Amino acid sequence: MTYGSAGAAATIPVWVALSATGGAHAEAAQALQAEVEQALPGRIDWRVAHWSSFTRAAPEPQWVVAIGTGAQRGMQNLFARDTTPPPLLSILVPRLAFERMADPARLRAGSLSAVFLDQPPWRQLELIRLALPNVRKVGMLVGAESKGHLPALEKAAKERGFELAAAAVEADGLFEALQAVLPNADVLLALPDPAVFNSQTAANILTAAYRRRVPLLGFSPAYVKAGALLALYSTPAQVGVRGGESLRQALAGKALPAPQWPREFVVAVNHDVARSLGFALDESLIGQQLRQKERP
Amino acid sequence: MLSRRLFAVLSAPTLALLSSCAGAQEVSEKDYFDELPVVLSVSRLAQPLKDVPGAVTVIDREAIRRSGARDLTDLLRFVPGFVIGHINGANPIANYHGDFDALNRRLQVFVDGRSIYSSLLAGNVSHPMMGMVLDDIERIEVLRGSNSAAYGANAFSGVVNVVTRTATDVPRFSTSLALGEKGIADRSVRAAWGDERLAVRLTAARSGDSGFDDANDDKRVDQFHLRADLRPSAADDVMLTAGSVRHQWGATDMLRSENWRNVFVQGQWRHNVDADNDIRFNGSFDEEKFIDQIYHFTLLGVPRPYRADGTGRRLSLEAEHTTRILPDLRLVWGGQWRHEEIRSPDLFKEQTALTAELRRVFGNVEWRLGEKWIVNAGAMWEDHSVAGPHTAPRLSLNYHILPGHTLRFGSTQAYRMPTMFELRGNWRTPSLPGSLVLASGGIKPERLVANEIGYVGEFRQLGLTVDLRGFEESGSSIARYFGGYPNDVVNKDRYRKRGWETQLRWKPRPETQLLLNHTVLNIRAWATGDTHISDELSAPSHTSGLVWFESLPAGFEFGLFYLTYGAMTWGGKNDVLDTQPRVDLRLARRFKIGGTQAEAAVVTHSATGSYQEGDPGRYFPRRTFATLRLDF
Repeated sequence: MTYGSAGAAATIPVWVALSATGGAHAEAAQALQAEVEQALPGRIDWRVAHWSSFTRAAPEPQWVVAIGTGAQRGMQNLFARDTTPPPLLSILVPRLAFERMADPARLRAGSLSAVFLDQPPWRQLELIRLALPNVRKVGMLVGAESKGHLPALEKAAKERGFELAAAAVEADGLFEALQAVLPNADVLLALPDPAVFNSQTAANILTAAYRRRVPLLGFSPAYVKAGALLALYSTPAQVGVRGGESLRQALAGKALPAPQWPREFVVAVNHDVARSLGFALDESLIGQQLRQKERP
Repeated sequence: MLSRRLFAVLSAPTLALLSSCAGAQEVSEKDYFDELPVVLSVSRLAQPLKDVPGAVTVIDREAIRRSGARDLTDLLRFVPGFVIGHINGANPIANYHGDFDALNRRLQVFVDGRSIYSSLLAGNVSHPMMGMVLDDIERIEVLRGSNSAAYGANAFSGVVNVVTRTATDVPRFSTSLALGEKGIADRSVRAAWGDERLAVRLTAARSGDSGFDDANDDKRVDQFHLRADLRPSAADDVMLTAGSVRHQWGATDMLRSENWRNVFVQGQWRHNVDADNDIRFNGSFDEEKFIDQIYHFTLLGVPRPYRADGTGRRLSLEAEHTTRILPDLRLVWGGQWRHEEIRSPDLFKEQTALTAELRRVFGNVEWRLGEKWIVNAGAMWEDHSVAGPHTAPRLSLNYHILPGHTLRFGSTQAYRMPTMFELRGNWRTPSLPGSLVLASGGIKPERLVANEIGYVGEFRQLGLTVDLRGFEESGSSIARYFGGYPNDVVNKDRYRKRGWETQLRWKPRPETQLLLNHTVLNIRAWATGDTHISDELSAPSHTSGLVWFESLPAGFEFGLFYLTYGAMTWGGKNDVLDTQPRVDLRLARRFKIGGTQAEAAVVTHSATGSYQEGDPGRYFPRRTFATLRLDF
């Protein structure tokens, strides 16, 4: 448990609840704090700790930041009985996880918001267009969880002239789904779903796709290391900075902004796989072009 | 239907596992931060065509499916530089730049990493090449030109690398049937099941026809193949294959019938040590049995049977390590040990088994010098227990002139080890005293020096790829049967083959695919003692081929295959063959019957009539057949 600046009366108490101390969660917390401190040095009385160590016995915070799914659940539960709980900003959460947990009333009231960890569908598709201009058909393996991404992806694909081919894994098993999707896909878009993409299945999916010369677009740096052609993701620090911006805005007296996607992102390329599949890709150039597309 | 039930039973635990965990399988940030094992490590990534130290033609699944081919030689007919011949309708032969005799022993053929050839029949690959079901093949990579530095002595003229489909890539159950003229009757069934940890494919097939006209060469091939892929951990994969093949012909023939049988098992284990290191172990065991029954007429005109039977066994163990030494320097090195044992009193006049051992050490580096240059250098040292040690080196430079345009310069030296028959053969017939072939054992390995210049161009906007290879192949100490009666096997001939070949692949629109081949080959041959026209025409002076695939509406597909040869001779005979252009046609329709994918096709081979392809007395007849394939 750490207390930041020893608070004078004017400081604003903010809790930063971590799903896990250390690692990605700590990295995001540090980036968030640094972003806020830069604008409001010394004004915040930070209390950064694992979510389970916060109790109602402690002085009530003005703002709560939850980092990760576990922290969001923990903080929601902690203030569940309050009629006016302190506003909660959840960051580093996958959109589907956030939406499953979020209380719609609090969302509407503007006392709950988020900075997601996943990438918006349009960004994924624009990346495919920039990096693999010949691709028309985007294949996906979806499970019960990642099915939730389909409506937004379908809309974004339609606007950009892509065809989507999704195969459900749980109904038929992984291999049947791969057989169904690979012949109809120019690229395979990986969507996080522990029932579909995990350390067990990644080897099978990557080898099957490679055998068919279908490149894979992953959602984490681990995928690029494992053998995906490309990955699009935001680092914990990038998500933390975006969270810091949201918090600053709220601290400035404005409302908590609506849930957002991370603004900054990384495009990573596995150059060995690119060479083998006959692609010449420059990740910094692609990243730059993608950013330009979003913020001309 | 049994296989479907089998699949359901076997995969039930997996499905149950998935659904029981469903509650716990909610996405969280953990999915984004979990580490993954390196799956496509450097050694599992294939070199792209522009970086390969040689000319490569890839025949993919789609091309195989649409080819109308019934065996591997049918597919090789459209690889530049390849020449197909027939001893008879049951025994097709394929070799790069021709140079046929009755046994095809200068080509290396792999199936899933296992070298297939007959130890007993002087290294012949023709019988083993019948032993595969085309519908099981994912891809065929043909390395045009000598490649002994990477693959050893058998890769004297070229390498055909067949990669079969895993259970995970095929439908659960498939069946196919072909029926048509000239007794064509091919059928196969295949079942596949499994999950992420173990996947198994089983195929059984029988194919046959009545061969050529005026030849007693009715053929039947029975085969059974198993492939199991295991993934005990993310860093390991294991492949097991096993099978049996029986290739027989002439069963209805009074004069001659042959029956070649082969059973094999193979295991391969690949282990990923880390991102830059992979190791691979491969072991295989082959057993073959050959029954050759010939009726010979004695001087009094009385037919008397005699046999040229034998058995062979081969055990091969191989280890290979792929490593990245520097970011731009990859090394593959390893060794192989092979033990061969053959027994044939009929062919060797030796009651006991003859054995030979081969030890090999090889290494190949791929060194990238900036973005423009790639150096591929390698060598293989082989030590044969009878023929002694030899080293085959290779050097190739690939220069990427512009993105999508690569020039290649290569030079290699290859040796072909003599086979046991060439070293120790002693073949007799009952009607004559003495031997027809009596090998003195003085034969040395054949030697080949090959230089090439190549170009690979990719014009993405046009959908066109161009492959051009200019070559000079100088063979010396080429083994020939010589002496008359008896024949010895001697290092007799020299040749120089010069020419160029090109392959254009053009996909002007998604529905159309065109493949255009052209080969020009000039052979100069020198034989000690006497010269034959046959040597200089042992392959056609030019070969042109065209393949046209067209996808039509309503699931229809059309294929046209056209091939024309220049003048050539066959098997050392001086007769110039009557090589007419060959045209094959295929019309197919793919449709669904409920959940079943069906494909019906009509194929005509040699639509314009019969022509000579191989032995001068034999004509390849026109034949039409219909096929039906169902994938459940």
